[in-house]
Amino acid sequence: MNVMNKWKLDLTSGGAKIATRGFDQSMNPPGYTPNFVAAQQVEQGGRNDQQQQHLLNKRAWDMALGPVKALPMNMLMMYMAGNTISIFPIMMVAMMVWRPIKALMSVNAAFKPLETENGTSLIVHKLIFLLGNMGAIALAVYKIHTMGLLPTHASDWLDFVPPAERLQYILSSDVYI
Amino acid sequence: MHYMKIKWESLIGCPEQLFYKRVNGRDILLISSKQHALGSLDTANGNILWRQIQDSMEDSLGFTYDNIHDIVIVYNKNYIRAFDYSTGILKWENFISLSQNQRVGILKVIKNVVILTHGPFIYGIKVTSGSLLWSTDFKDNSEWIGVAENGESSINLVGGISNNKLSIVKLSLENGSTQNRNSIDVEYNFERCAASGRNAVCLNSQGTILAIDFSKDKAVPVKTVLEQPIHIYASLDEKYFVVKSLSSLHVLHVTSEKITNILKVEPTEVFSISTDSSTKEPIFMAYYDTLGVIKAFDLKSSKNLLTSKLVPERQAPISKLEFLSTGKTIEILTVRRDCRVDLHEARLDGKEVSIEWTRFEGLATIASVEMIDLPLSETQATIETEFTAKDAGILRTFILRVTSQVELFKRLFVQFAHRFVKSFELIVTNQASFSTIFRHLFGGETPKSSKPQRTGSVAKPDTLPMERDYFNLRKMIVVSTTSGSVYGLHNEDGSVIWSLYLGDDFEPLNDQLRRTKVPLFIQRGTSHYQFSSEAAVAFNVKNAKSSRLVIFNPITGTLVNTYQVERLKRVELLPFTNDEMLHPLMVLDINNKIDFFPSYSAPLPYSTFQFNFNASSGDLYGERIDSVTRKISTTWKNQLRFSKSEKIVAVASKPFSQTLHSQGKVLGDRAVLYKYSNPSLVALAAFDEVEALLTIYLIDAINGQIIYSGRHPRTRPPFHLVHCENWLAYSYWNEKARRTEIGVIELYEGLTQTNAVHFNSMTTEKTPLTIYAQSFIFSQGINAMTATETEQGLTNRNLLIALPFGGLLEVSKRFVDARRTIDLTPEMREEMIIPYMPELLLATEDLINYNQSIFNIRGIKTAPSGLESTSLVLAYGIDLFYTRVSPSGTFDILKDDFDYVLISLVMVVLIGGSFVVKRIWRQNSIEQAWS
Repeated sequence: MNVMNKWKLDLTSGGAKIATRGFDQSMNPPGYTPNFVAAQQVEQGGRNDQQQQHLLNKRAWDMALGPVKALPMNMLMMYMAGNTISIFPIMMVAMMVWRPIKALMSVNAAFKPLETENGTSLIVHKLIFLLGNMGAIALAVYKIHTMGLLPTHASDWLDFVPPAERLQYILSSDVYI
Repeated sequence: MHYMKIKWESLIGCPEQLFYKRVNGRDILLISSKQHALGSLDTANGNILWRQIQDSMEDSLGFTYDNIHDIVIVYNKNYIRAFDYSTGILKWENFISLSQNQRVGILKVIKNVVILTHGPFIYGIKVTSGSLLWSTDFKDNSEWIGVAENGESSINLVGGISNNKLSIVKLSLENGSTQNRNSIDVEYNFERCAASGRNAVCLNSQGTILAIDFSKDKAVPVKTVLEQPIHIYASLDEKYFVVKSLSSLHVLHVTSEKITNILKVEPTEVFSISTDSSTKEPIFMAYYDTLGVIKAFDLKSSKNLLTSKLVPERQAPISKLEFLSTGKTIEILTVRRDCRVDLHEARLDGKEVSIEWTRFEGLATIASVEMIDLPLSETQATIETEFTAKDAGILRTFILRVTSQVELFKRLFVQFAHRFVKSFELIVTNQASFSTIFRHLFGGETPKSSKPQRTGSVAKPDTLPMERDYFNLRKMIVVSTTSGSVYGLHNEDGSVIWSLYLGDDFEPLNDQLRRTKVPLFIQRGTSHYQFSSEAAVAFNVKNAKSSRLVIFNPITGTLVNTYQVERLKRVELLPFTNDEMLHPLMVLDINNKIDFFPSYSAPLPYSTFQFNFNASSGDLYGERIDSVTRKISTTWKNQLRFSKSEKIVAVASKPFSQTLHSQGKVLGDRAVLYKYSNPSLVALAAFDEVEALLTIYLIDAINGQIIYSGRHPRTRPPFHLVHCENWLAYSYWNEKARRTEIGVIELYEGLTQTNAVHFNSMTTEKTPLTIYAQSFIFSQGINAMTATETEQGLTNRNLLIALPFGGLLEVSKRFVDARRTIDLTPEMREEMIIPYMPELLLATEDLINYNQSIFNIRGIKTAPSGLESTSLVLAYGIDLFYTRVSPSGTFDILKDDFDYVLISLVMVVLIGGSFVVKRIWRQNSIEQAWS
C-alpha cells in the first residue's frame, strides 16, 4: 500500500507536459499528434452551443421540478413517521416544513446562476418550483393536522375563553333566627 | 405532591374547671374545658404536657386530682376515667349508666374510694382499678353537696336539702350501706349551701348563716347574721367561705365553734383563696374589673399584701382566678371571658405584675375564618403612588419618577444600613450561623430565633414582617370565635397579632339549621393602598332585641365603627363596591327592613336577588333587592312539599368571588364538554328523620327552577356539602350498608354552549343539561369537607376531608369524578378518566398532616395565594392546623429541594471549561500549522 501511495500516474496532462517540454518529436509513438483534442473541439464548435442550451434547459427544469418529485418520497417518509407525538416524528415534520420554507426564501438565489448562464428569465420554472415547495409545506401541514397539532377544534381555544360574565347576582348566606 | 410549611397546634378549649396547686413541690395546672378536653399545662411556659379529649359533647366534664395516687379522675357522661398525672396515660375507665337528667355533684377521692354523686345516686369506685364497689340510691330528689371522712371506714354525706331539712348521711366506705341518717331541721328555707372539706355553710335571704361540721356524728350547727347575703362560695380551703352580699364581699372563717367574719372588701365576682406553700398562711385574692386591679390579702392579719394593675389592659374581663403563692412571689392564673388564659407573676416586694405566658383558648371556638393579604410594603406603595398622577405633563411625570427613584434609593440605603447593624449584632451575639447572617445582609429572611413561637401566643413585635411577600404566601388569618373575641393570626407561625373583644353582651347568631355563627366579612382588602383594609363581624346583643355590627381593621385589629341594628335576620356582603372600594353590608332585620352599611343608595349595577328558605316547611323564595327604595319583592315561590319530619339540613351556595378558569372539559375526541357553572346555583340537602331519606336539590336561586333532585334512602347524618364550579360533592352515612359514602353530581351543558359570554338565569339552555351522578364508598367518617381554592381557578380542585381519627386527607378530584364508569371508551381512556371503582382509596401518604393528628375539626378554610399552584389551608377545631397544598403540583415554582449549589457549580464549570478548551484548541491549531 505504501508503495502505491508514493507515486502518481497522470495520463491526461502528462502528454501535454511532455509536449511542452520540447522533447524530440521522434520520441512520440507513431501517429501521435499533441494537437488532437484542440482540433476536435474546433471542429464540433457549432453543434456544442445548441447542446449547452439544451443542457441548461434541462437543468432548469430539473431544478424547478425537484420539489414536486420529492413529494412522493416525503409522503412515504411521513407515513413511516407515524402519528405519535414524540421527538423524532416532530423533528421530521419540522424539517419537512422548514426545508421548503427555506427554499422558498431563496428562489431567486437558487435560479441566479442558471439565469445568468441562460440569459433569459426563468419565471415559469420559478413558479413551478414555488408550487412544488408549497405542496411540500401543505403535505407537512396535513401531517401536523393528522398528528393533532393544529388548533382547529374549539377545545384548543378553550383556555383563552374568558369566564362567562354573570348578569344576576344572588345573595344566599344563612338565615338567622 | 409536595407540601411545605406545616404548622400545628393543639388547644385545650375554653376553661371550665381549673386546678392550680403546688403538690409535693410540683406546680400542677389542670384545665378542663367546655370543648370536653382535659389538659395538663407546664406552668413555666404554658405548653401542653398532655391532653385528653373526652367523647361526649353534651355533658359537662368534671375532674379531681388525687395526690396520693397521682392520678386525675375525670367524669364525662357515663364514663369515669383515671389518667396518670405525670404521663397523661389512661389508667382505667369504667362505664356507669346514669339517668340523663341529673348532673354530677361530687367527685372526690376518700382513702381508696372515688365517691361520685349523681343526683340522688352515690357510687363508690375503687381508685386503683376503677371497679364499682357499691352504689346507693336515696330515691328522693336530694342533691349532695359535700362528702367528708368520718372515722376509719365510713363517710358522711351532706346535702339532700328538701323540706327545710339538711340531711347528713353516714355511709360505710366498704359497701355503701347507710349506717345513720341525720336530718338537721332548719326553721327557714335554705336557698344556698356550699360545702368544703368537712364544713357545710348555708345561708338564707334573711341573712342568717349556718355552718356545720358534718363529719361528726352529732353535729351542732353554728350561726351568724350578715346583711343581705346573695351567694355563698366554698373555697379549696375548708375553713374559709366567701359570702357575697349586695354591698360587699365577706370572707368567713368557719370552725366547729363559731363563724367569724374576718375580711370585708368591695364586691366582685372574681376571687380566690389559697394557702401559701411556704408560710402556710391563707391568702385571699380579688379582681376588680372596672379598675383592672387585683388585690391580695393575708387572711390571718387581714393585711393588704398586693394591689396592682393587671396587664394587658383593654382586654376581656377576667372570669376566673386561681393563684399560687410561694412566699415572695404569687403566680396568678387568670381566665378571661374570651377564654384567654394568662399566667401573671407578682412580686410582693416590688409590687409589680408581669405576664409569664398567654394562651388564647378562644381559638378552639372558631366560627368563621378569612385570610387577608398583608398590605403592600412601603417600597411597593411608593411605586404605586408614582402612577397616581393621571394626565400629568411630561415634566411633572419626570419629576415624580426622579423623586420616587430617589426615595427608593434612600429607602434601600436605610434598609441596608439597618440590615448591616442587625447582622453585626447577630455576629456579636453569635445567634445564627454565618451563612444565615450573610444571606440576611443581602435581603434574605431575618433569621428566626431558635425557639419557635407557640400558636395561640402573643406575637413578639418585629419578629414578623407585616408586609406582602413576593408570592403573597404570607397572610393575616382573621378569625371570629363564639367565645366573644376576634383574632388576627399570622399564618407563618400562628401567633396572635391582635385580639378584639366584642363586649360582655356578645352573643353568637343562630341560623335556621341550628348552627352557631359569628359571620365575618372582608369589606375591603389590602389591594387599595390609599385605603386601609376593613372587615366586619355581626353578632347579637345579649338580653336585647338587637344585633351589632363591628367594623374593624383586620391588619391592626383596631375598631373602626360599631352599628347597633334591630335583631338581624340576614347579613350579606354585597358583591359590588362603593366609591371607596368598600363592599357594603346588607342587613335584613326581623321586620324585613333592609339597610346598608356603609350607606348605599345608588341602584345596584346588576339585578340582585336573595335566596330565602324555610328549613322546616321547605318553602323557597326568591326576592329581588332594590337598593334605592330599600325594599325586597318576592319574585318566585317554590314548595318542596316536605313531610312533617323532613327539613333542610344543609345549604351550600357558591361565593361570588369564586373563579372558574375553564368553561369546559376537553374530551378524548377533542370536542368540548361545556360545564354548567351557574353561579346562582344553590345546593340543598333535606333529610327526613322518620323515613331516613336524604334528598339533594340543586336550585337556580334566580328563577327558582329545580335543576336536579336526587334521593338516597336509608341514610343518616352527618351530611357535608361541597359545592363549587359545576359539581357538588356530599357525604352521608349509608345506614343499610353501614358506611360513609360520598356522592358527586356534575352538571354539563353538553357539546354546545348556550352563551359563552354571559350567564343569564332568565334564559333557557339550548339543550337539556347532561347530569352525571356517582357515589363512592369512603372508609372513614367525615368531620369536615371542603375544596381547595386557587387564585385563577386553573389548578385542579382537590377535596380536603378531616377525618375523626385525626387525619386531614387530600383526595384528588379525579377520583371523586362523576364521569367515572366501569366500561371506558377509548376516548375516555384518552381523557385519562379512572375506571369506576366503588371505594375511594385512603392512602396514608395523602394525609397532609402526616402524623400530627388533629381532632374535633369543625371546619376547613382554604384561600388562594399569589401562586396559582398553591392553596392555603387552615383546619380548625380543638386543634389548629395550617399548611399549603398544591393540588396539581408546584408547577410555577422550583421545588424546595432544588439544588442551587449544584446548578451554579455546573454553570461555572461549563463556562470556565469552555474558555480553557478554547485556549487549548487555539494553541493546538497553531502548533499544527507550524508542523
